[in-house]
Amino acid sequence: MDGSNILEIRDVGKAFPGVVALKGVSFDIKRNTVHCIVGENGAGKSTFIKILTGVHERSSGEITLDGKPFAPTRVRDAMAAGISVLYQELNVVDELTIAGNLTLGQEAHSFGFPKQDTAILEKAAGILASFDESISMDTLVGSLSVAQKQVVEITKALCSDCAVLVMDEPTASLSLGETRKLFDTVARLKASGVTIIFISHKLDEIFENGDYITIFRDGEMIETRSLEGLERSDLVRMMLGKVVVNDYVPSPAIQTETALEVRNATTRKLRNVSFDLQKGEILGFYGLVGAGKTEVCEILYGHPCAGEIRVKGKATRLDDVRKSLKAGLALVPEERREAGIFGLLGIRQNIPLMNMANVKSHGLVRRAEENRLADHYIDALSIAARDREHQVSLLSGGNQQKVVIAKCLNRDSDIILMDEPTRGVDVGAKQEIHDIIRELAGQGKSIIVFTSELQEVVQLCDRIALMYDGALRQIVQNGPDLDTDHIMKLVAGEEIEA
Amino acid sequence: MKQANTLPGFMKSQTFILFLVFIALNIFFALMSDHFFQLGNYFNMLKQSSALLLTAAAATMLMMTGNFDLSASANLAFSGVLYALLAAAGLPLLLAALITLAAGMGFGLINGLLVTRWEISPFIATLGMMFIGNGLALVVCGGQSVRSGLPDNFRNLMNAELLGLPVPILIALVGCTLFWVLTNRTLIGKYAMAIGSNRNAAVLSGINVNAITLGLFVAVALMASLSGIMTASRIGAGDPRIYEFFFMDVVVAIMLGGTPLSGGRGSIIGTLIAAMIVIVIGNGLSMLNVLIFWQTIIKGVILIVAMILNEKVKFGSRVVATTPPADRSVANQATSVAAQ
Repeated sequence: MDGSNILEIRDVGKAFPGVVALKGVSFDIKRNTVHCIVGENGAGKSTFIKILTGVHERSSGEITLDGKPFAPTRVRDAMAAGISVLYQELNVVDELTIAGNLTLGQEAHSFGFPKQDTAILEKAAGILASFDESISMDTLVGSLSVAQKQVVEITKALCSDCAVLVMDEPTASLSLGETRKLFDTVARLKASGVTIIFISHKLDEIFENGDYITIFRDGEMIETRSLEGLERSDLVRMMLGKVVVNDYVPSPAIQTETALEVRNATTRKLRNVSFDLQKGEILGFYGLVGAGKTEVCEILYGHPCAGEIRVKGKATRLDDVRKSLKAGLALVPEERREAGIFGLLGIRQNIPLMNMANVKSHGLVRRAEENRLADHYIDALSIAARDREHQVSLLSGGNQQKVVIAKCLNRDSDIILMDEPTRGVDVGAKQEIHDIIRELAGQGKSIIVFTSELQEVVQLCDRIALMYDGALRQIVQNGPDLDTDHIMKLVAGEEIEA
Repeated sequence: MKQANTLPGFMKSQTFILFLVFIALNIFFALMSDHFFQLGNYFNMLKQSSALLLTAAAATMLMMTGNFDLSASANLAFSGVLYALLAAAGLPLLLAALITLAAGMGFGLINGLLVTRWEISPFIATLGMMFIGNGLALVVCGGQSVRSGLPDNFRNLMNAELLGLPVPILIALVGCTLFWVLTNRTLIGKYAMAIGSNRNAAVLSGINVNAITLGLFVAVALMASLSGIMTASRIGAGDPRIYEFFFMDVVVAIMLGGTPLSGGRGSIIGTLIAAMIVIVIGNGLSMLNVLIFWQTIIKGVILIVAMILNEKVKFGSRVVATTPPADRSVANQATSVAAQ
């Protein structure tokens, strides 16, 4: 074998009950490089990392670390072999000092009484100082910033002689200045001989820090190559796969009446987002993970932002869910099980929950009215259920989603926000839900679909708003001459000549 | 940098405030009653509370890991009855005590295994053991206090003196010192704190979290069992219904002493001073002929006040830990927006 590879991965697969998360991937990671791993949600990259760090055991395949077979069954095994992880959730003890954290679990002691081990402490202090000279070893970790805590964790990994450091979206909770510092740290780590596996959704970070890249899609390794000479749009094309443009039907009832205007919406993540939504229109928001789709949804549904939002021409603050509902917006949330359904209740009890007014009289719930509503929506949305008492958690994903949509429709809102409306539903149900969305638009409702599936936006939406790094880059009109290459360039953050 | 010293400073001062309260209460009762401020009364208070001090010291360490043992009261009752039964059966007292401690330790092993191996919440696990222990205490003695057939020396443990000090006070002194050293001078104390503060970090640092948690459950059970033996010796009987609110007193002491239910930090000294405050209030109010019922109400008020104090400390540390970076990044974001 070639000594330049620190990790050689051969046919590594992982099957969970009912789903194959990783379909036998093979690639090499070169020693002393920054190796990026990218892929959309569900591509298999986190499964791979969990196998590498001993969280999951692989179902098949071989890994060699430094020429030796490597099969960690616990996180400790991986750490002992020299693979450490910088998790998004920081694993430091706030109540201890930096020195206390750095020696935690490795203290020299006699009969449980700790001994001052100056050798370890000096080594740790030296490593810490190489990253940040301003923090002393006696500082309480609870008083540090997130970035400083990361430095403490990196120092700890280096103290235990880690050869490979996995960084899992390390900049997710950092400010811009702190991000810069982290990149300096990455450079310094590389200079000191550490191999870094860098996972990020932000293409800028990948191109700035990475030497090599592995692209995952649908549980498969698509390509491993040098980042040099790689075009962003090619990268995105490999991440997303082939997109077939067909069956788009323009919504029939688009009117020139504006239902919603957003002007210069700005938050921590969003920068000057402006768009209009017409009555009877389906508007899609598309971008890679972390581009800011979710944040756009949030500012329309309970999160404050700077800028202006007008609903039907009237300036409105939507910083509270109740205000959004009152202004005529309703949300079909992304996390169906956590935020959409009341799983232990039946369909009958779920449907009126966003608008109890039409089943209530004199403060009591009228069963007959609930029954009528449930029957109506089971029929209108063809919800496949035993009867209206069917416990919602026992329905299939697609039918659960229909219950959530029914819940919103009963609210009779004019603007319906749909965050990942077909995630986790089967192909047939997906088509049905798309039909429901089109029908709603036909009735004059305005709909915003937030999705991370390019296929879904080009199939469903009249206009597509393309997000990159918290900014809305362009809104493109859907139609027969839609250019998916252009879309990929925009969501990849490439410059487009006007 | 300045913030780094806020938290321990506050905690130290919390213990210090407790100490001031303790002194103030002593002065108050000394002024109100002629019988309060006397060596005999203090010895009496300490003798009565030696069991509480011992168990509270051990339970403070357990609480630092974020765990607690509701079954301590049941363990105390069961151990008292078992010890009396064995003594009445003619076993030498030392042997009877050792067998009782072994049985009491069983509570800790079961609690610890339920929590660590089967991952049952400490509330459920130790609540279950509380019922089992209470039931066992009644079953082994048929529901009757064990009074007859006890050897003459049964009460000696609590009434003997050594070096001019009552033995139970010496036992409490030795036990509490031991737990203070464990907490503040050994790695077990550091690890207990780390487990309560960030369990995942402790696991990833290679700390045997389960072994330490299990060990501390056993330590609390041993102290509760010893408390049962001491209480039986003090009242000269094994009473299955004794001291039902024992664990509640332990919790009041720990909470008031500055150790939160969620763990992560803790102070043995704080617990001990808090326990003494509760004891002094009880004793002092009795001297002033305040009905025992009122004392119960006062205990409840003290517990709630302690909780509010603890919440304030926690809230304060959270603000220190999270606000500055968030603020800065918002500011950075704003400047980057402005720059465009």
